Amino acid sequence: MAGSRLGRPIRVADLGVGTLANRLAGEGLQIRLGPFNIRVQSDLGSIAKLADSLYGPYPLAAADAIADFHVEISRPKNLRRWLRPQCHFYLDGRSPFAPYPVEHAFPALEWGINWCVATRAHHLLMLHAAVVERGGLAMLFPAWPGHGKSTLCAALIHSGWRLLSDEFGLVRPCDGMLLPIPRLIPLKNESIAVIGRFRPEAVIGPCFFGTRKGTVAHVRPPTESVSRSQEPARPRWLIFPRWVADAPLSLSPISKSDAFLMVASNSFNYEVLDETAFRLVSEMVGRCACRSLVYSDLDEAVSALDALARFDDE
Amino acid sequence: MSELSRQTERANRLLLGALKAPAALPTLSAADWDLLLRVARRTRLLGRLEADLSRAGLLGDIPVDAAQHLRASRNVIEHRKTLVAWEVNRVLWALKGIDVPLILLKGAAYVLAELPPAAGRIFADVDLLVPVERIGEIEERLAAKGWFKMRLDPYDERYYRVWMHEIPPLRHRERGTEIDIHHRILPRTSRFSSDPGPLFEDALPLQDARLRVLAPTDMVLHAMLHLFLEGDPVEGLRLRDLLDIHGLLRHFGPEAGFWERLPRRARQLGWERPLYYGLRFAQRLFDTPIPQAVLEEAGRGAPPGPVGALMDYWVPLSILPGHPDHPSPMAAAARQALYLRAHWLRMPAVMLARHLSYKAWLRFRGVGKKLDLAQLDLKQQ
Amino acid sequence: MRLTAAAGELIWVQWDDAYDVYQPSSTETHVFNETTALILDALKDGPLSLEGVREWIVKTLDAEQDGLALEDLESAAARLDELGLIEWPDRA
Repeated sequence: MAGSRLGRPIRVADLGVGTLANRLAGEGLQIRLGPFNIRVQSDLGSIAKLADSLYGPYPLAAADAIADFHVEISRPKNLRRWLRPQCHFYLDGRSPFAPYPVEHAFPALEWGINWCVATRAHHLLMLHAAVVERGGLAMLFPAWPGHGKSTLCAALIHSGWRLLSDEFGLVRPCDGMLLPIPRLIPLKNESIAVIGRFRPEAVIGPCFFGTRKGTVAHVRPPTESVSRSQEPARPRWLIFPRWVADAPLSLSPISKSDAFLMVASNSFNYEVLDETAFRLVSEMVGRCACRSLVYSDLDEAVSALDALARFDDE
Repeated sequence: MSELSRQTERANRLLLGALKAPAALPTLSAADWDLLLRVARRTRLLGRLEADLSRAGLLGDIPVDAAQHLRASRNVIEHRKTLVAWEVNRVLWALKGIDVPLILLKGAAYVLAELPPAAGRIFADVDLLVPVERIGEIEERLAAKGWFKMRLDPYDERYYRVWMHEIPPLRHRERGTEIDIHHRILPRTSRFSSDPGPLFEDALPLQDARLRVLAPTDMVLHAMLHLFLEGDPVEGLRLRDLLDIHGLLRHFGPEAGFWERLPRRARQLGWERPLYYGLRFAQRLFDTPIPQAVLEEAGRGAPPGPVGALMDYWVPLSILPGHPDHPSPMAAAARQALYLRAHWLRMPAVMLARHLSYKAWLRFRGVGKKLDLAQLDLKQQ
Repeated sequence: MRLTAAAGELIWVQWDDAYDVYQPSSTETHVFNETTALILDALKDGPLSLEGVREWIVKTLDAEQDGLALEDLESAAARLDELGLIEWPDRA
């Protein structure tokens, strides 16, 4: 970790917008995101400003660290830069990606970093799930149709739970532990207001309208989630949530074989990891309490999950 | 020397050094590892580094962060290897009772014959060479057992029907591996085309006698053909293809009669030009040990002076990746030029077909397709 | 019909109502029901005909002779053949 006179790692917020902008436009800003070092470059002023606020708590990587991904979000590198206000996401200088309007540069950067992790980090088993932790034990919300995991996740991390990730369940193959990658939580459309009402003190970035996913805004996780991003957690609960308007709360067991199927089919690289993936998912499902959760009220859902964790006796 | 040249040279030297002397890798600085990982990834040689370090027992001596990338690469490669081997297994199952010579080409051959290029290389498809008169029967049997022809748009369909040198790729309805069935190595109209008969005559059986691979000289020549005729507009010629050639030459070199047969066979099949280039550039970049007599004889396939000089300049420039942060316009131009030279982009489709294999054609057609970041594809590459 | 080498490598996990099975030779993960699992079990000690498998299962489950339809067995066996877990040379 980049040491300092501060006695703690240097964070993005310590640099100030001016320095941030210079670094982004120059040799790049190296941020530590959980197990990954990401080098980010950008020639866009908007990125520097948003990095200062939304990436503020994140530590910088050590000066001699190996960067895992080299990404850039910038205006096109050719004549197009003057034609239309677009931006491109580059990974290692290449951009096989469709361009974005320059106003959506920040969400594009966030999605781009997701893409990097999902396509490269095959030394880990990557489940598609939100993960939160309490008392050293992790609760996973695998993505499945109608899941709304990000909203539930955002609510939980402002109710005493630590964020590991809202997108990636990173399973370390040697011991099945979950690795944190506590990044910004993107909320869509109505969820933005829902979380704003649920926890007015939550730090939510600006709304980006008309993106490919509708209106998007990013929740910055509490500082503690970021400062504890090197602490893995042991999986304990597998929860399959579904938000249904006006539905009474129900938290009921689901069969382990169903849970196995849903976890395996909602992963980024289950197939790639062959037998290791099979063993890790089997072990996880075997040791976790598997529940389906139907809810319409966020407070009720949070209370029910709190109770599940408190009276854990399985 | 300009900054661009310095950085380009540094990146290329780092990569070639890693490939030629993996034992020195534990002494690399973090900054060098950072760069090496990037250029190795760009040339799809991460897996190769992992395999070399693994074989030398040095994986524990490199930085953990670097080792993780290599591990990731290895996992993907092992997975793909199994998929390829399994697909061949299922094809044999489907063709039970049909007695037909099946020659494995390229990746599938390397994997099943356990040849050096199989180490650390990603293989995606199964390429088979079968006699033209048996294709209908094979196609029918595979269709009955669950394989389907991949759908083509009319533009592609015209290509393969008019210049057919293979039927469109087949895929089993439950699996992702593609099978390309060839009845010749190149389109009939290709400048380097030749009758596949001699290839069948000299093909060698594997442990399972239903499967064959090309004779060593033919395998090497095919790899050389593949290298020079299947570029990519962005990547140019592929360094790992040249590395495969180097690996095959080192593996087969000690076999009795191999070096004598190689130039003779090239002459017989009309592949002297690719042999010339293949030997020349493998030696120049990887110091492949090649008997002087063979080089001289292969020299007969050399191009006219000016073309040779141009290739001598273009090939190393384009085949080495350079530094990702300092793209070289000259290298990009060389890659384009080699691609154009091989594929005559500005000629009508009819002329393009003269040099293209079907997959290269699909790739050419695919240039310009963009990925949508917002839709995270859960199926990994 | 008889087991293939691939069948010998299978890794089984049993839940209450089904088996999740990993096949190393193909990297595939399967969900097998009781019938399918029993076919593989029946063939453990050597090859049997389809009828032979049926008899073995009926005896093992101590079930009714006509409780296990030959067609169900046949389609499960055909599936195992397709997956490369059994060899069924005299299959029509």
